[in-house]
Formats: sequence, structure tokens, C-alpha cells
Amino acid sequence: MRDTILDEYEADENSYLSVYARGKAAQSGTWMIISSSLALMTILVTVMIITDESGWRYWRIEEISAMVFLVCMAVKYVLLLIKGVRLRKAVRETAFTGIESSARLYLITWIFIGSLALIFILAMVLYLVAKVEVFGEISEGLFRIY
Amino acid sequence: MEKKNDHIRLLRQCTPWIAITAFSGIVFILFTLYRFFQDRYLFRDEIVVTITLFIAVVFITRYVLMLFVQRALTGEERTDKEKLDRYYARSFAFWLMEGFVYLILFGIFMLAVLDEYRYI
Repeated sequence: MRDTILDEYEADENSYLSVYARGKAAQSGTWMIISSSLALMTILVTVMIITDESGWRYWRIEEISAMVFLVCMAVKYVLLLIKGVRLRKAVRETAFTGIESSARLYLITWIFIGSLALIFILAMVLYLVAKVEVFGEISEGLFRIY
Repeated sequence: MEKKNDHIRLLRQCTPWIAITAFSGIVFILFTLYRFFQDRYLFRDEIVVTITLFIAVVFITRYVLMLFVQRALTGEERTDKEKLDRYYARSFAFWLMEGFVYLILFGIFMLAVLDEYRYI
């Protein structure tokens, strides 16, 4: 139904997305896929290094926190990868529903990243103000990896 | 006709979340530098400082540019179609740059891995 609406737009000069925007959207989808894939590979190698250096049974809070961070980043890049694929597909098929759902996925991705960032800021503030040591250890864990 | 604007509305709603992420990125960098100053041994390590500053510059630039991409969706004088044209043009430039940054980072990372995790 929604695609039919788009077809009506496509028929006249006021088409929903111009040919230019469609081309750029497809290209940005391609680069989104490339970036996300590389980021996921980097995360995978890092996880392999952590598990290789010490077995998971001997993980301290540093390793656990670094792993949680990496998992969150992996989720983010998986979402961006799906968004890239969905955007390319939607643009190729000029499917309005697909374009809109890729935008929705993009919003979900940013809400996810932003929420993590808010938790992170809270952790930093707690560390600096209340000197809750666990956040210092989490930070140490991230230093050890990067 | 109303449904058409959902696309722009959804994309525009990302802006505050990107701003939050950028702000927390800056906080993280400041916190990292604070810890470096506390830990004299770590601060002496040139490679650690270089990598931290590199990541700081790359990531902060990244979020600022992302906000610049989002700005394409604002402006009352432009039509929705013009906004989307600008948005996708900037989005493409951003992801092209992002792709190259990740290619370089991944290259450095793999070199580090092959060199027995020396700089990780």
C-alpha cells in the first residue's frame, strides 16, 4: 500500500527521493557496510586476543568490562550493517517502506548508542565525585585493550 | 502525504542522541587524559599517548561531522526533497570518510596483531 503511494510520487516530477539522493543513499549504504564490517572484524580480533591471553574463567573486572564494551560496540555495528543493507535494497527497489524502516533502524541505533553514552557519563561522574572504584577498574580494562 | 515526512522526522530525531554521544566522547577523552596525568608511567609512554590522541581526534571529528550531516535536515526555506538531497549527499561523504578511517585503523590493528600485539 505504502509502495503504491511512492509509485505515485515517482510518476511525477515531485518524486519522493530524487535520482541524485537515491544514488547517494545507495553509495552511503555501501560505505556503511564496509565500515561496519571492518569494525566488526576488529572487534572479533580483539575478543580473540582477550580470550587467547587469559581463559574466561580467570577474567577480572577489567576483562569483563572490556568484553561488555566490545559486545555493545558489536551490536551497534551489526545494527549499522543491517541499516546499510536495508537502505541499499530499499533504494534499488525504490521501496518507500524500506527507506522509512532503515531510518527507523538508524534512530534505534542512535538511541542505543546514546543510552550507553548516558550510562557512561553517569559512571564517570560517580567515579569522579563519589570515587566508586569499580568505574576506575572498568576504565583500566579499556586501557588494557586499546 | 503526511507519511512522507516520517522519514525526515525519524532521521531528525537522531540528532539529540548523536549530540549526547559526542558529549560523552569528549568526557571520555578528558577522563582518559586525567588518568594519564595521574599515572606518570602511562603518560611517559609515547605510543599510548599518540594512540589516545589519535582516537580522540578521529572520534570527536566523527561526531561533529555526524551533527553536520543531521543539519542538512533543518531549514524552513528548503523543501523536503532538497533536505533529503543534501542529507544523503553529506551522508555519503561522511560514510566514505568513515570507511577509509576504518580501513586505516584495521590495517594498523592487523599490523599490531601480526607484530605480537605489541601496541595493543
